[in-house]
Amino acid sequence: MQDRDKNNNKVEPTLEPVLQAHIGKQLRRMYDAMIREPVPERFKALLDRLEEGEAVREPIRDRAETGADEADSV
Amino acid sequence: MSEKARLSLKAMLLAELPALRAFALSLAGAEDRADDLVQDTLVKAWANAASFEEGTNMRAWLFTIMRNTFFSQYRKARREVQDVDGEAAARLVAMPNQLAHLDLADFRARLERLPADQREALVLIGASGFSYEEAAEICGCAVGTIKSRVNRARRRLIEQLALSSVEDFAGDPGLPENAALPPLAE
Repeated sequence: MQDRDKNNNKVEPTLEPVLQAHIGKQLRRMYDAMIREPVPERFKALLDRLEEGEAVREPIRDRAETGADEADSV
Repeated sequence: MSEKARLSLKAMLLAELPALRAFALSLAGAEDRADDLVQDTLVKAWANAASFEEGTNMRAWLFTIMRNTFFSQYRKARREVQDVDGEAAARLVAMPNQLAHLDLADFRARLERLPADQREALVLIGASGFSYEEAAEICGCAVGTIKSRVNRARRRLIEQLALSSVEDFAGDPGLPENAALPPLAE
């Protein structure tokens, strides 16, 4: 695979801009499709848990601002 | 960290989730591995929130955490699993349904066969919209290293494309003028 770098003349020079454009387009299309995928609920739940974890360490400050739901779970 | 800052951290992390997931998918390939990577990144980001400097680029900070996590796991996995190609092939089976479109699936398969550092550089520059300087900062390397990785990745993909069905794209009328990756300033 690495040795192929030596005979790059396999690639027509005039094709290269077209190929580069194609790669750029495909790359963005792929990434955009990934960005648009729905985010799994588990990550939102994880952030909630992280927040609750902080609440356990700093109970006074958290209870003052987050209310009854939080107080029940602590 | 104040309550207010922590609440906004959560909001910022929520806002970055789609980008985090896309970067994880491009790095790790299979959806389950990518999601584990997102999870590890969120936990580390939360634990190290104090190291985030307000006013700086949160996405770049998160991507740095993610790629460092990925590459330390990747190096470990490489020591344990010799058959990296076989593993990569197995992961391709688990592609998300949303990407079942053959063209994209094919491109993604080619991307997955690139060395991970080249794939990372190509995605950061060509898809995530980071500058070469930002990408270098994220990867903890020199700007020239990023440029050379992007260059090698691009060359390898071009070779593969040229060797395969040229007719598939040579006459693509849908190519916008500026579809190419940003030029390398050498």
